[in-house]
Amino acid sequence: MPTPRPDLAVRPTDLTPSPTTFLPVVVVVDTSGSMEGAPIRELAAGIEQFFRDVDADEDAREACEIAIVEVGGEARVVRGFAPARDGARVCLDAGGVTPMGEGVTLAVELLERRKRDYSASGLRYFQPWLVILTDGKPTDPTTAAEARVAELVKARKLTVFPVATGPDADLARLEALAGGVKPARLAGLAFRELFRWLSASMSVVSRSRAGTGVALPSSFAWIET
Amino acid sequence: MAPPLHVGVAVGATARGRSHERRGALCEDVVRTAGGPVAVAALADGAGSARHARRGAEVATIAVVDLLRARFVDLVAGGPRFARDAILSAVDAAIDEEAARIGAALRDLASTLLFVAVDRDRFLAGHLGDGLIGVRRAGRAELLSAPANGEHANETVFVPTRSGDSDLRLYAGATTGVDGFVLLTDGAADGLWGLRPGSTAREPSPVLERWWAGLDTAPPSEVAAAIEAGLRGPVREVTRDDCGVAVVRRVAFGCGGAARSRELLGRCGRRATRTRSRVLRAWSAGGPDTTIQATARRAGLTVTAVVKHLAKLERLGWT
Repeated sequence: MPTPRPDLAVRPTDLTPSPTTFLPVVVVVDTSGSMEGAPIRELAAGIEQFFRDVDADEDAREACEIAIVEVGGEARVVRGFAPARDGARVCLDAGGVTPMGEGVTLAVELLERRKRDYSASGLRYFQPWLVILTDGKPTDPTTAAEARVAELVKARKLTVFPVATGPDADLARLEALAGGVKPARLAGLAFRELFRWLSASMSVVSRSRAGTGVALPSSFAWIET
Repeated sequence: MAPPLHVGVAVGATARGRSHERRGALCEDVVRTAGGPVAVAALADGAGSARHARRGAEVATIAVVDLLRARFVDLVAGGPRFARDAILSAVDAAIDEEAARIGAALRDLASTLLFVAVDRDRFLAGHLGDGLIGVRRAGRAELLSAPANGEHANETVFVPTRSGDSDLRLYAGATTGVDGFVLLTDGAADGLWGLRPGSTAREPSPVLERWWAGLDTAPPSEVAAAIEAGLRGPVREVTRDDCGVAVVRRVAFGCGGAARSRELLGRCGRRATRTRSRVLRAWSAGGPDTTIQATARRAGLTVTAVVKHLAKLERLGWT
């Protein structure tokens, strides 16, 4: 292609750098007493690998902001929204009961606040993600959390991934907390496979654009069949 | 002194985005332009989820450009509701036909659509989906139509619409003070009319003004080539998406070199270009009430030659 006349050529100073479009993700992890031992170790290892995988992906690295809410005894934010590269290590301790209603409410509030931050800064974002991992049943009232999540899911303002771990997980309560989305049951302690699938899925969304049907990866080695 | 004669010029280009290139996919932005008495440009960005996104974008742009060229006067005179119905009917019908021909679902041909048509006195622009339309008014670039996105980044609206009260936004008006338009798909808008850092306000790139101004002195094909080079080079580096741009302007004769004259006068030979140029200048100098005989005298040509060249100039859209 011939070189254009200098005054018609596009110069680097002519361009606005395209701002990142963010994908906010909150992972709510059940760290109650029943997760003690191998489950909590595998969960922590899976999360560490999750951060490494997201950081290694060109598309997901810039777009994904990940927060983690721990539900064990109480619900608390153990990692605020940040890119995967900002601190891969999250300390999780198993213990206490499972106030999952409180945890999910906290996660939804985090996402709402983050969306407001994006909007206030003129930044675009994808539909937020909420991942819920639990091996039991909630020990606190969940009605308000269920209603809020159901409302957001119905309005297509939230994507929820409920995952039950272990044989004692209450699938019906988890489905209600996930706004009616059917939970998947984790195969054994395949947290790493689950998080690998999540990071690959986040990569797909990060490079999607208007009108793109988002087809998530179909490798479900982490799901118990 | 008679006002200078003008003709509508529309140029454009597209470039495949890095994301599509990496996956070996086609560019799904399509541009179609036509100059003349009614200069028309249309851009469409095939929906990422559509199996025949590029074909859908082609069909939509062909349908709208053909309609605007053929019925611009009717559409403007009929008012916004009439124009909206006519445009959506034409585009939807073309997509229906193509879907039936290739055995595809309508959603497989979905695309956004941006267009503008302009004659000497009026313009008509329309926008459905993301991307944006800019206008040059009193020498300054202004946003005419902002992107229509949903709350989330990968949501927008498309043709075919199948909706009486569709999301198509129409803009019509007089060309007084308006002397250029630009259409940008979302990928191109990222860099060429992007958000100021930390703000929701968009800002036009200075190169848009240079492209508009360039049409006053450079052959249209040279401006088109510069747009294409820009999209394939620096613009593509600030977005992963496909990029499409169309620039429309009514231009006067007389500035620029022989190559520009040749393009604006119908890509004829050098001798014919010189003769046609003489006819155009003589016609222009004679004012609105001039005659063919007076034009022939002023140009130093025979009446037959003047008639032949004036007919050609009229077909090319010089008014």
